[in-house]
Amino acid sequence: MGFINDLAAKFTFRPGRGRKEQNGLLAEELAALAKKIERLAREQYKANILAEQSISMIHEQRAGLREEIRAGAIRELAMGLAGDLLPIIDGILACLDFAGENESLRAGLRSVLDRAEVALARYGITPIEALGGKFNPSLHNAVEVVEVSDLPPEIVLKEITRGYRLGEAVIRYSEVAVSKSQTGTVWPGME
Amino acid sequence: MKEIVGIDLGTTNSVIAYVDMGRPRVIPADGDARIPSVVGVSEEGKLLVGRPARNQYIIRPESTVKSVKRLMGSEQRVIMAGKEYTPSQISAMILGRLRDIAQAHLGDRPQKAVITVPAYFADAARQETREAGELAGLDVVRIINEPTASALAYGLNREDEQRVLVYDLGGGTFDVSIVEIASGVIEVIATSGDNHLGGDDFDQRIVDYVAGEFLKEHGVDLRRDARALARLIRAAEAAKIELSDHPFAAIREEFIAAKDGKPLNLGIEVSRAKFEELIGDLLDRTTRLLDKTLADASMKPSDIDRILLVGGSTRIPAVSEILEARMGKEPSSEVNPDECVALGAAVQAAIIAGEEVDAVLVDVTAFSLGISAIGEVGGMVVPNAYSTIIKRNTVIPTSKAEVYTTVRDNQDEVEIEVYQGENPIASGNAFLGKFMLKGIKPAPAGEPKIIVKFEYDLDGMVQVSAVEKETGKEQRMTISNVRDKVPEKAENTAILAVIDKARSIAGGVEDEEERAALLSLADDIEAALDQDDMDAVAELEAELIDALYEFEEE
Repeated sequence: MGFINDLAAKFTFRPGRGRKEQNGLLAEELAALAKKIERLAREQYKANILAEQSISMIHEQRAGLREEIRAGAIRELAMGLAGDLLPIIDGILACLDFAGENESLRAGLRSVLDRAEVALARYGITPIEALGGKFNPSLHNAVEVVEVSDLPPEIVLKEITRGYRLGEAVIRYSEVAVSKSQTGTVWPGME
Repeated sequence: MKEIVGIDLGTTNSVIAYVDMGRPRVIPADGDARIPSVVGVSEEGKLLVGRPARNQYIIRPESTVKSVKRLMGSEQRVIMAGKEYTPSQISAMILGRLRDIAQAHLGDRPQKAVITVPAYFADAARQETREAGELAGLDVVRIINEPTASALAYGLNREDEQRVLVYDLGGGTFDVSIVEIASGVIEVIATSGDNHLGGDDFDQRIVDYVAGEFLKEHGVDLRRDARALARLIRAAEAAKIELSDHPFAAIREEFIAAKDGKPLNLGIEVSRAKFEELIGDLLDRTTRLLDKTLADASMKPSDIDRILLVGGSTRIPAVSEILEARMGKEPSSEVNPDECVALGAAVQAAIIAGEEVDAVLVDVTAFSLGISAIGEVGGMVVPNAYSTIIKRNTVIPTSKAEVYTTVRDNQDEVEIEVYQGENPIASGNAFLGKFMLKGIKPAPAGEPKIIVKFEYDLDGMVQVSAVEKETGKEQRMTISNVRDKVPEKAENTAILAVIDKARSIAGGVEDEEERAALLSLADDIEAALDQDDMDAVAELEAELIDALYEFEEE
């Protein structure tokens, strides 16, 4: 520390300088040192308070970040699973269409489908209701329009691709065929 | 409170971003960074923006408006659900939705925005964009050009004089621009584009090809059945994305159609080479526009310092390849091409707000990764050519694959030697490891297809696998801490950084002798590096680091 060396240099006994004079100088220097130490101590105290607050903030942020990372990791895992499994489920559903009247084949395929959807549900992934219900653009994507005379407009007639949600968020919209009233048909509420 | 946001108001999709503690970030909506630029009115009279509006288009086309950006600046009006709107009113609905997304994310409603427009937008279109923002309750503090925003996202406003080519190939439009950067000012000096060329066209080429092959085989046209077509379109888009990272994509859709009561299955493989053939003429259109833009700017390819790739369709490897071949330099794609323009708008917003802005945070590979293979180097076929599989500056995590073959008839094994670096001769790079793939099915040379795949994760772990396509025979190895295994020459990067720092500190040293001593040490290390005298480099570097430390302590 430079100032200690300076101090030592000042108080090396030099011939010609009286003891009283030297003591006086010493007292002055000590007083100045004490003031300096006080100031440094205050600054250090302030720095400590700031550090404590920062550490507390960091702990809070870390907890929040940990939760964010955890939720993100779960979502990523679920999305990965959905990406791999949904095309397989699509194949099973497509096969069901061709099963015709073969009840045992239909039953078997539905059983496989159920097992796949139970597995997905464990990760928060659930199918979107579509068939027979009202078209909802927040959940369904209309890819075909079918003119019908015996149904109101915008009823889901066919589920072309099943849609799925992860929690409340749509991860795949249902692709559906939707009814359109034949020209001239008026349903209650359409007037 | 985040006051100013940046918005990319696109023809097909729109994105909103902001600067968070110095870092530009996109604000996602329902897990997606982009919302479709589509507006509609539901049967119940409810306003729909984004995906819900797009979902109802086919049922209610008269109540849905797409691609309104194409009408900005024109006198045209649009009719939606029986009412007339100006293009800026429709755009305002999109901006309003983006503002709500931002509010949900940030907690407070943003008050101001920087909005991007194409460089070719005339005054009327720019004014309409500003009006759209105001209708959406935003104070539009700046309208900036999209290529300018891209340059900002790359931090180029901090660079010295540069000429940058921005190649923007999105879902439905293509724009190519040349921007000049000088003294922190970015100016667009030439621009061309095609309003009807983009990724959707590439998807359609795959759809038509696959449907054509299916028709030949089964006599059924999948495009005639809405259900089959929907599945085919989705599969085609997925295949296009797959082909960006892998040389083959399998399209499998079971029970997609029926003939004579019997179900038909779709199973076809599309190779990257086939895909590039299918879209070749579309990419040629982009290069013709590129040439026109250069001519308009009175420039040659060698006048361009940097090329930026913007728009999701630039992920297609053929795009980088043709640009590199034409321009003589590798294009940059480190910033997410779907988000680049919005991130740049956010950077501009932060600059206007007087905030500190860092570069867009991207984790990339520092060096290329590849294998040793027989190939051409400098016009000569060599046995030890370096075949890059993951290029440097690729964003990680990433997975890339390339296909190779045998050189001898009935060759039953191949050795996969893995390297890291940029030398076109494999052994000039850092050797990371090797393994053998044995039991290759006997076949004439050039017939077997061996797919070598690299999977690089965020922790610097690389999985290398080699699979014979026909038999499925596979071998793999894992390389950990790839980032620590730098090529020998690349260690010089750290030493050069120390030299730079010394010179920078010396500039501020008042004492002439001390300054001269620092500079002399820096020069001596450089000379030792040039002579490859690594012992001298080590000794001098230690001395320099000690000297720098003392300066910093003072």
